[in-house]
Amino acid sequence: MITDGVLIKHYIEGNQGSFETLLKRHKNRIFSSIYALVGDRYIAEDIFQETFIKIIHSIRTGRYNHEDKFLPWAMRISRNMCIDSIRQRKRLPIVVDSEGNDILNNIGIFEKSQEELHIHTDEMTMLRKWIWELPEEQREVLVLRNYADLSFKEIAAVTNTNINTCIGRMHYALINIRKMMQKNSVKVK
Amino acid sequence: MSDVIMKSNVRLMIKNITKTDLIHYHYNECSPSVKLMIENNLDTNPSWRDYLNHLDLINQAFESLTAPNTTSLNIILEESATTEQHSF
Repeated sequence: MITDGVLIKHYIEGNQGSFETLLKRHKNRIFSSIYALVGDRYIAEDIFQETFIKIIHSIRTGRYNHEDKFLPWAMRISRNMCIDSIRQRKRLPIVVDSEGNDILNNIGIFEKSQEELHIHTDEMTMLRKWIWELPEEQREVLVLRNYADLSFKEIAAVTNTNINTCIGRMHYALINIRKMMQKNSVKVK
Repeated sequence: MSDVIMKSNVRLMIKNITKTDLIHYHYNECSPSVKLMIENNLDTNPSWRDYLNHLDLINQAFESLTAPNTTSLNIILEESATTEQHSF
């Protein structure tokens, strides 16, 4: 398999197909990670596009110097965009309906698929809900390890922390999930 | 996180296995010696098994990878093929 570094080199030399190969190789991991971090398909699509456009510009302007560490580098770009997006959304004013519920939440519910509406019907969907409720930094480690398939060392680099912090966050995520499981009488089979 | 959580029952244990070791083991990131140590002593340490089962469960909760839509891919590919490319 041609390495990411070689594909980028070929793209710089004018081979468009190399970039397409690179995109196809990493699109699902990067997109799934973004989606899991921001929780909204449409926003995830925007961030995914912006991430790759920034990648293209960085490569063109000679700012890519990570050789075969393409994925951690791309994840760092997308993660920063996710953080910006989450911050922007937090600054939006909350508009409530007559019952005091955030109308953006209601819109979210209606946009979910029929399958997603049965969120409480099985333990796995409950588990997904709990993962979503974890503190951001704990969820981030889970997402980057399980979706982006980054090593803890790479996650540490992407999140500007160290390996012990990442492992600690993973551990506390597990503790929190176990607490929620106990509270809801869910057992590991 | 260096807290020792479980001690193996095996006399010749070189080191105590920590949760950090178990997390590294689960994600295939531990050294071959720690891997061997965990595998050789897993049956006699139910708490290890329990911890690994929880990690497994979390893995299962992560659904299969989702693909971006074709429009996004086309936008990116168009951008990557613009004539600017030839100016560098």
